[in-house]
Amino acid sequence: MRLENRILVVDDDDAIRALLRTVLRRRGFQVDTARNGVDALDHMGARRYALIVLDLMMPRMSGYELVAQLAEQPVMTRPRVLILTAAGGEPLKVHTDMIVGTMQKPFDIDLLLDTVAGCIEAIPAPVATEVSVPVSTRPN
Amino acid sequence: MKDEPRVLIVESNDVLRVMLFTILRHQPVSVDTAVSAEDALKRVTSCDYALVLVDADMSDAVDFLTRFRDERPEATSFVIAVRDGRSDAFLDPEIVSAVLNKPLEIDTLAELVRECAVVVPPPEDPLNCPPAESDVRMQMERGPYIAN
Repeated sequence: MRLENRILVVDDDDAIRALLRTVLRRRGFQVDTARNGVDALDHMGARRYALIVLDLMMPRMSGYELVAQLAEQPVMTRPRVLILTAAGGEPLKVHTDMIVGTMQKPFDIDLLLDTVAGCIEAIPAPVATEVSVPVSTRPN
Repeated sequence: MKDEPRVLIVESNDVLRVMLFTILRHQPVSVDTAVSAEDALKRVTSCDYALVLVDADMSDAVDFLTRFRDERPEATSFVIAVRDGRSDAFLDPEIVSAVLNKPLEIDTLAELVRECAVVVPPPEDPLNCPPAESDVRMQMERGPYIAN
């Protein structure tokens, strides 16, 4: 599994997190979940994610606040962010280099999966790649 | 069974409704069905559902969703709409959380129901639900209990 396949779903709704984890895993992605921005930052401290699927309205630390914090990171290490938002929410029009798109709830699951797959595909290959050791040279 | 999360299928198409019921009754949930908005409204006002699966292509689907929101504002149900991919009917995000397109992928649907229904919090003041259709069916299939 490539590192670029790892996704973090951030939403305070337990059922939405369960739904996204289920459909994204079935599509072949590795998925972690977080219930708010603070929880998400904990995950991001331990792991790099190719894509963050992010709800905006959450307790403790909202999606707006999380995006503002991520924007302080060096450009090369920032994850891409796909925003999930309910109609009527304040649109996020800043940090457009990091935000790959916005989807309105209720989201179409097929469209969401295609969007995520498209985002992941569009991510440039890492500069440093893992060196594989030929089987014949591996120690017994 | 009584303690399992309860799921409601709202589907006017007989074949689809029976198919969905058959699939979901084999999951660890209790299942009821409704054939129309009226029928569905009776269900949701007499029982708390963790998950409601509603066919948004039904002519009265939006009517049901609106009345559900108005008559049970305290409901914690997670609502998934099922619809034709070409349909563009407005679905209120205050009621509907996600949309699945037809034709349904059965394994995905079953897993979604299993995973989502168990995490939906019960309402603070739950209704006293009648027995679920799936439980009644299971009881009938098992036959009467005969003590030795």
